[in-house]
Amino acid sequence: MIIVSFLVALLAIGVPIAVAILAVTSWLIAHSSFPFSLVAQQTFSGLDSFTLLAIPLFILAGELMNSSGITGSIVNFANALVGQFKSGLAQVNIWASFIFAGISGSAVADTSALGRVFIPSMKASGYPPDVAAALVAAASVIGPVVPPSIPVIIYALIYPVASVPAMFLGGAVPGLLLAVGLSIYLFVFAPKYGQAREALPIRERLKAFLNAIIPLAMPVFIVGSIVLGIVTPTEAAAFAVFYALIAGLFILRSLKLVDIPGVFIRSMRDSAVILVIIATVSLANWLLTYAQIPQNIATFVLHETPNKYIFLLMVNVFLLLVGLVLEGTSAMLVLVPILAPIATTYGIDPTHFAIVVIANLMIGLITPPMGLCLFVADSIANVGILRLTRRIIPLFLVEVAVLFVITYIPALVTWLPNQFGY
Amino acid sequence: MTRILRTLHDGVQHLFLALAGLSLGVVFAVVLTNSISRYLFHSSFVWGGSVSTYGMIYGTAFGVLAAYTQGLNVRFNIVTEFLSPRVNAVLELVSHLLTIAVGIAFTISAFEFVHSRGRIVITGLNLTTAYMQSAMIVLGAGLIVVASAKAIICVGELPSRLRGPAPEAGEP
Repeated sequence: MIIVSFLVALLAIGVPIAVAILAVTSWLIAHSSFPFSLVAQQTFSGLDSFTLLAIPLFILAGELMNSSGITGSIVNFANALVGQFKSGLAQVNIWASFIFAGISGSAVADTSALGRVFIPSMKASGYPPDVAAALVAAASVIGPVVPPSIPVIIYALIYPVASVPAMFLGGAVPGLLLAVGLSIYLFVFAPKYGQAREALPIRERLKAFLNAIIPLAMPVFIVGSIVLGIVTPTEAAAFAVFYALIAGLFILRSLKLVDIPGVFIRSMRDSAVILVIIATVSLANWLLTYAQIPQNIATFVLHETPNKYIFLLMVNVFLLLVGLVLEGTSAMLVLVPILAPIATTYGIDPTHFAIVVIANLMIGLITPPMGLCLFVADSIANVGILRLTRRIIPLFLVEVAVLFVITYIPALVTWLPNQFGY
Repeated sequence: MTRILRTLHDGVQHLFLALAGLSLGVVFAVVLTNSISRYLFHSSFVWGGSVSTYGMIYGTAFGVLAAYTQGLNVRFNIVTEFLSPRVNAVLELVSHLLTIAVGIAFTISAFEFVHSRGRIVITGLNLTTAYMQSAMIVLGAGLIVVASAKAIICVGELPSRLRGPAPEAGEP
């Protein structure tokens, strides 16, 4: 209890998460019979994985696509599809997020890239800026659920029982449901913003599709090659980088050679911030497992919870509360080693449970005070977190409703992986 | 003094950023070459997996240090957001001092780790694992350097930050 209080105190005063975990675990190991070299050894082991290479490479592929200016072609394509409906630009925002999700795999990247396009243009079309920012943040939750998804790769590293291809396929329908849910909410409940316009002629739509074919093909290429067993996730990530380089330099011709070093630097720096937390949490998890803490919690939960439906309800409520104060990836690293084995004991499909956990923790990205997507959207719209929070509540409720639908209808997650033999 | 330190700090930051980017370049080149070679020629470099993984580990060490110099490491601001700038200035210094302590402990641990486990020869490479495990020494020692620089800059700025912002024109 003292150790946990110490960790919480360090985190509360703003010590970086990785440093705080290292401080606590170093202190514990120094006061145990273990050799002190274990601190560095377990941190090193946490990084010593070929699968982990997929994370910086996927981040790099997304950055290269962003730098190539593909956002504009995605927006045009989404506009050609749904721009004529009520609150057309807001609908375009949601579906552009869905398409963009297949490229970046990160909600924060989606908020940043699409927020810069949509928040100013929605403001100019008569949308209140807090509505525009709330919508961009809420739609970005779709990103880490739809494949390829960085949280899926991290989940598979923590709990290898769930396979990456199965989770990639399992996330497709829930991601689509999130987009449909937000879209229906706007259609039914949202006031009419902006000017209505006629549907674009087929020729214009076809042109928008052709212009967006390069970014649209990327997720098909990545997920398809992994699911068909042609490449591993790491190899697929390297091919995705290669594809993004060729597309940006020679096809779109919007990426300049001088920009490339900067893209590599930003990608490795941003990946390192996630990777170091993975490494230090693997050290903490080793200690937790040695002290049999996950096993004790599992025994307690299995004894106290009558069935898997109550367990899933408890997990969802607990994770939504955790999402208020913990960043999604960090929460996953700490909690999945404890929760996933219990779910398996209850007979819950590992892919189903993984997608429920990922979707739940990613919804936490739009809940204050730790909602990273909220902060990014606010940094663009500059409306204040309080106003933004008020606007995001109905969108948050829509996403929670979708979460409960996928929780209690497992086939929505498992059907697609089952079709491919997973 | 603070200005010289800031220049040094910025220099170190650029160095770590460049090394992080270079590491990712190596990782990408090796993984791609190995994959293509495997599919086209049904053979791949034995050392491909090790070099790319260790490239990422070094890249992570450099990237984390660069992020620290830029204040980009993931942290919670749930409490600090509600505190006064003066209290935050002191907490920032405490955080850097704690990072120095963690850096020292981690470097000692890393030295022991390399000493005890660094003699294994990596398959396909005529190198021992000590070269790769040394990334942990780089990380620990780097943390000491960057956190010390940040702490000294923080101490230099502390008196003015504790006094608070200067009153605007017209204010008493």
